[in-house]
Amino acid sequence: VTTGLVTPPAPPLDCRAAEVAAPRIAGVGLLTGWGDGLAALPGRLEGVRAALLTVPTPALPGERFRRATRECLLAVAAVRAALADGGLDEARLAGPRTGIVYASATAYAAANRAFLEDEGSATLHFPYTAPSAVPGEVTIAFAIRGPYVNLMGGGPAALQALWCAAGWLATGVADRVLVLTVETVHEVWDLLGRARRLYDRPLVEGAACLLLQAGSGGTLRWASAATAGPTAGGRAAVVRGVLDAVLGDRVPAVVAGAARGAGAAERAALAGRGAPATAAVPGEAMACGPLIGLARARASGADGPCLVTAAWRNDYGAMLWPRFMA
Amino acid sequence: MSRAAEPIAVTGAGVVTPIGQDLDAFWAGLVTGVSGITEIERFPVADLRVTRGGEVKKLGRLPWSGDERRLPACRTSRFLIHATREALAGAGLLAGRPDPVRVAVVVGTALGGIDDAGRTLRGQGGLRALCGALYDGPTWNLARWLGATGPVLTVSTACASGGTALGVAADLQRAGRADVAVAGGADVLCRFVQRGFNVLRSLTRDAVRPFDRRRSGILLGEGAGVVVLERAAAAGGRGQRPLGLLLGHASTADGAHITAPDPEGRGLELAIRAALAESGLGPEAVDFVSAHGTGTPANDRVETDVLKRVLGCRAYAVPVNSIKAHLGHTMGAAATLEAIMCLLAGRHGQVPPTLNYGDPDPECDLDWVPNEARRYGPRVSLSTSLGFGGCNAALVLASP
Repeated sequence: VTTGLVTPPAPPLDCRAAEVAAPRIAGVGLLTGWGDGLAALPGRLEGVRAALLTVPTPALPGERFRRATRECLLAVAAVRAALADGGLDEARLAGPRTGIVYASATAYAAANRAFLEDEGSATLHFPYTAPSAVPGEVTIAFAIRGPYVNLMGGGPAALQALWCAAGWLATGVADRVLVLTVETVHEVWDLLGRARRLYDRPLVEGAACLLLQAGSGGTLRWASAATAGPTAGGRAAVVRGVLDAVLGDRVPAVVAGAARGAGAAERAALAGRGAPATAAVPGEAMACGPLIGLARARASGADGPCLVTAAWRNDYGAMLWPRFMA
Repeated sequence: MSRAAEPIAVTGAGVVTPIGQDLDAFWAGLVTGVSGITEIERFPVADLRVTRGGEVKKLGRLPWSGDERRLPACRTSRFLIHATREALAGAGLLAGRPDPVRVAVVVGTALGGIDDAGRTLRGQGGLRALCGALYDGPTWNLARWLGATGPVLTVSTACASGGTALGVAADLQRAGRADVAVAGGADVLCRFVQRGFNVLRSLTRDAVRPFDRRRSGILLGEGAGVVVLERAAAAGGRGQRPLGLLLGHASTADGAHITAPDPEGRGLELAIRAALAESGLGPEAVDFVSAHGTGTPANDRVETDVLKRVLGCRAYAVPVNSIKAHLGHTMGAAATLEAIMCLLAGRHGQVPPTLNYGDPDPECDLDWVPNEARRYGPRVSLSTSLGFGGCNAALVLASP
């Protein structure tokens, strides 16, 4: 069979990092199956027996949220938590100078399933089957009219979201950007439980929001690549190629790894680059993973550079966040 | 005027639409006023209020593949692969294969792998269908078919997805993340979405009549549009004459309503102005507009008002069209198909008409190129898109 471009990549990969002026994390909002905030996260994965950690639905006052889905409520609550953490008044988000980038692998599945299975679904349910309903509710709640992109996928999509946000801040099209991720799988757990190739740790539902503003100093570096097939050798070459592209001769102080199945390859690729601290994400949080990892690394007191890694399907991505202090 | 971003060359394009499954058929259908709206045959619709749409009746066989069993079962993925093959051929890249890790795949979709989701819930298709049912399923199927191992991204800004995807792909190239980007949009017409818009009462029992006083709603369509994007210097180095250039892009939020556009169109206006700023051009440079033009009362009035504000006194002199009456609303594919239409208009020196127009609306009083194609070669085109969740996208394109 002749396909378009096929031939598996042979190492070393010609993988190159994108660079952009690094933003500052001004606030963190986090709700996960572990609980609210960073403090709720366990230090280690060992001892966790649950295969799925479900996040409770936040109770938001107001008639406006009467029809909103659980994932919409989680998104709004995560944004509010980030604003509270950053000491920013909600009213400051209104208008064209606030951007929002949203990433998710799953936070539409419940609404889609409900509409597919119930032919008698209410008229007003259908709009919430669109993934854009989740960030859409956020933009309505806070009257946001700035730059806006939604990316569908796991951790690597969240890295792309962070890079996109940094680009908007660097070029001045926004004064602040919300990077928002939501993952909800409880309602489709009977289906997703069959797809173990997508994850190898307990699935953690959650919503995470980073409030970014310009100017931490330093340069953000981001790269990603996919394996052409599921071979271990291919994965190791991709991990090494991506990490070489992102790190060059830099030595990370913290590794916020969330990469499924890449642990050994990551360790091998990082060997000889010092002994970085780790801020691992305890579980498969999909698009929320990189944000949790960054938040955890920031809270550790290290000033960076922080290496954040993520994997989803055949994709592997890495980002070097230069520093946390402004 | 702001500093322009690097223009990105569109070196190839491919389409699957209800009026044609290659560029030539698509273009011929557009300029001759062919409508792809028919009775829907592929899934049950007898219980629905509206039973018509822009359906691709039979997807042509892929002439380059002797083994169709190797293709994904997912209809969206097949549309994408079909369109991508044509785009690669047009770009001269079927034979000369770029390094796979330098190839990016960016797909915009409003529905993702919804076809596979239905099969999964019926217990059919196994794990492959389950993975395909996720929103990024069709994108990964395309990446696998291509053998591409560079950035693989799925954009879902509802019916603006196909525009946002092109912008994201251009940004990847400007950042040096890829030498070649295969970018576009795709969605299929299925019971899920037909029933959804049916219960919302957004579908018309009449014809789709963009900007006409009698307009009463949309009809859905399906298809795929794919372009090959390259940095202009690289395309020139291969001796490839580009179809056109992507000069600028912006996507913005409305922050107003989950399904309806902001009545004042502030988000759309910002998207257009930001896309023009990225292209380094002012509104006076725009000489053609491909409007979203769904044929709903709200959308068409808002778009008209925004175009008047942006184009100023020139608004009445700039031809504006909508091809939704030809194809139906192809959702995630729409913005890419409309961008391709803009570039073909520049190449052929002809602008396709807005069909079914006959009763002017005083609130929508621009030059809609009614019913018949016009001899006119736009050099700089603006393409606008809107979607659920308050998504807006604007593209600025140039024909060589």
